[in-house]
This record gives sequence, C-alpha cells and structure tokens, in this order.
Amino acid sequence: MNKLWTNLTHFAIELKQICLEQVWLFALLMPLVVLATIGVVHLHNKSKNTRNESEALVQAVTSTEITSAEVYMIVEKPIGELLAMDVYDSVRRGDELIAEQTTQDIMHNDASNKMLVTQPRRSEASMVTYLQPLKNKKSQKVAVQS
Amino acid sequence: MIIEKKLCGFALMIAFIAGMSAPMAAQAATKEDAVKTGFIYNFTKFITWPNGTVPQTNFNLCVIGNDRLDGGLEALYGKLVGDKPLVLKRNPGNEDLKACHMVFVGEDSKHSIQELLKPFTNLPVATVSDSPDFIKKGGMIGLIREGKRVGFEINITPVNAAGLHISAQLLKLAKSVKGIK
Repeated sequence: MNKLWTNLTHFAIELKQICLEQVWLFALLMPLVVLATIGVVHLHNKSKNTRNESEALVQAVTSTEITSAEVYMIVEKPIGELLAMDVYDSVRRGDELIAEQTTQDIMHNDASNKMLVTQPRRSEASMVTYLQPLKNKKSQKVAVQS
Repeated sequence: MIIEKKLCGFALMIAFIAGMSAPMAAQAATKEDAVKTGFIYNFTKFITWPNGTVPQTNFNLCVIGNDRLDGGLEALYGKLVGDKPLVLKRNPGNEDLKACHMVFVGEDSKHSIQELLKPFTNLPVATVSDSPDFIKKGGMIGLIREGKRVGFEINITPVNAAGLHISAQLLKLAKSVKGIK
C-alpha cells in the first residue's frame, strides 16, 4: 500500500513537472487558437448577416437569448400557452420596419432627384435674373441712340 | 516519460479547446427559437400520419437547409411522439427523405422553398417552416409573427395531397387556414 502511494506521488510530481515543461507549447498555440476562434465567430456572424433583409430586421426586434433549461421548459408548454406567450420585445413587425425603411429610401431618393432636377433650373433662373436687367439696359441704350 | 508528456500536452489542449468552445456552444437559442420549437413539437400531437407509410421505430424530424432555430430543435431530441422517440436528421440524403415524418425547412440561399419542398411532394411528410409566405409557396404549416407573439397558418391542400390529417383543434388555433372549400 505504501509502495503504491509512493508510486502515485512520484507519478503526480513527474506529471506536474512535465506539464510545466509543456506550458511553452500551450503559450505558443494559444494565439493561434484564439485567432481561429475569432475567425470562426466572425464567419458565423457574417453568414448570419447574409440572411435576407426582412429577417435581419425581424432579428432587430426579436427576443433575447435564453438558457437551455428555459428552452426545455418552453418546449414542454402546450400550444395554447405558446400562442399566448410574448416573444418579441417590440410589437413592430419586420415587414413594417421594411416598409418604413423603404418609404424613407423612396423619400430620400425623391429628395435627391428633386435636388438634381432643381439645381440646373435654379442656375437658369439666377442667370435669367442676372441677364434680364442687362438686356433691358442694352435695349434702352439702343432706343436712346436711335 | 514520453507517454506522460503526450498525455499532459493532450490534456492541456483538450482543456483549452473545451474552455474556448464553451462560450460558442453557449450561443443559446432565443425565446423565439424555443417557442417555434415548442410549436413544432406540439404540431406532432395534432397530425395523424397514414399507417404503414413510414418506418415506425422513431419519429424522424428532418431539417433541410440551414437551421434557423439556432439549435433550439436539439431540445426535442429523444422526446416522445406518441410512443416513438424523436430523432433529428439534419439535411438527410435523398434516400432518407422518405423516412422523415416531419420536415423543418430552413433557409437556403441556393434553393427556393418550392425547390426544397419538391422531394416531399405527395409524401406523408408534414412540412413546417418560419420562412415568409411558406404556405403560399406550397408548405403545410408556416410559423408567423403576430405582433409580440408567434402564430401559425396552415395550407390544407398539400396536407390532403400527402394523406395526412390535421385535427380540427389545430385548425381552430391557426391564424389562417388556406385551401378549405
């Protein structure tokens, strides 16, 4: 029994020493693993972002994450209770948000188009207001001379 | 000595990877995902499949396309549907499609909903999705958003074509039922 105990202790000490020796490997690999993890998380988020616009907007007003225990609890509920559960933080629907955004986009585009259209007109108008008195003056001079 | 060295290195790596992967695994489902999963499980109680059409050892819930419920469906694994344990099958091959009792249609950037549903035409497989306008595209049960809540709509035409029966109770609870004459 004593021998076994000694052997075990000896083994534990040796293992500890070896682990300490191995720390350099751990330190070397850690940045790589961290980078890989960040990459995977980034790709995961990116793939999520490629979901269609409506879904992205729905997500914007969707509910918060819950624990797996809560998931199991919800899954157990009968259909009547599920129908009565408030799931989303906001009553605004994704498609309403899309509609709102689309309207904003249209208004913005309209405004930009109007500006583009009115810009030359305004220039023309200012040119006319500048040239008209000059023209009048010229014709007045001609009339006086004649 | 060498074995101990390898053992130690391996243990360190496992511990580290486990530690790093824990937060990723903890990307838990949202309440929305859980509720939708709950609906899917409840639907199994209101649908009757024709006898002898599908192998009867398990209840196979198949997922095609990307699972939009972010792992919420995992909560259903092993739950009993009637007397059969529910088994999840993600993106089953063509041969396994016939073994599905129910299929959840996720998003797929390459294929339209109609294309994804095509292999299940006239098969006794209940099709469910939270994809917009799912029932208009030939699906059976579409999970939809109603204000702050989740509801569902049913298209009876493909249900009848597949030889399935949906209980009147479920039809009553649906937000809308399409295809009733």
